[in-house]
Amino acid sequence: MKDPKNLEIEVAKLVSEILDEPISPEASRLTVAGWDSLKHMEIIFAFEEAYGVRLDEAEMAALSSVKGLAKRAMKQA
Amino acid sequence: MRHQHVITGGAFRLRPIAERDAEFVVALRSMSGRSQYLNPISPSIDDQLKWFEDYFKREGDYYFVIERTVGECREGLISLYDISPQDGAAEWGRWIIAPTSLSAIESVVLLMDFAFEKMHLQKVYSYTVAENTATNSFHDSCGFRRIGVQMARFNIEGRVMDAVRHECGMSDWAALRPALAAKSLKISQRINRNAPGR
Repeated sequence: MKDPKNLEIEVAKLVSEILDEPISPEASRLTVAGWDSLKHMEIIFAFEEAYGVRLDEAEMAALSSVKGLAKRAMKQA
Repeated sequence: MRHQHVITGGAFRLRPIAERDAEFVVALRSMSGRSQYLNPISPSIDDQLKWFEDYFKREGDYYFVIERTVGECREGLISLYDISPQDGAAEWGRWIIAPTSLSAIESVVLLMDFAFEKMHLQKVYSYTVAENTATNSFHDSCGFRRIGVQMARFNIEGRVMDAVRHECGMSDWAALRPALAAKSLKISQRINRNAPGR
């Protein structure tokens, strides 16, 4: 099982690549202006592909932070 | 104005707003976290119905409810208004999406299709409170052109706010639409796959 902190760093890197800006493990839609509704869906689909996760609709809308995504990836592992 | 336009997409449709939506409008516009960038409205349903009376008389104003194609659950609002026949331009706005809704991209694709394909407009534009960075970012991400800032365009509860103007011309939309429609399709397929009864 991956270390949660490392996973957060990994997810932050994935988000960073999509938003094209540095992203910390503390980041969320509330703190990053560029994490808009369109970018959010790009992040969600990239996350699913990277971690072999299939999110339901509620999760797609609700998982809006690096920590939340990392926690969900951990659940899948 | 009273209109009959229904624009249907993969998971959502835009349909004309009606009196029965008054409560929904008040609830959505008053939602915490959403109201800081919106002109305040009365919490009274009767007042909203009076606003509708004026709206129904106003030509060139198309107000839509964003709802699910399956189940007809209402998830947002969007409008096209201030249509200028002289220059073929109109403003789009009154755009509010429920916090848990995935309708943002599809609702905009449907409204742009309505503006350019049904209304045959040459250009649509929007004004967004400059402080509303998430919505301005969405416009940027869509590829709409950020034209500039209009100082002191909004006065919301005594707070004077600047506005960012974005524009999208007909040829811009032709170039932007394929990518946005593809994203919208991917989302709608996921929503429909998970929909009850599917």
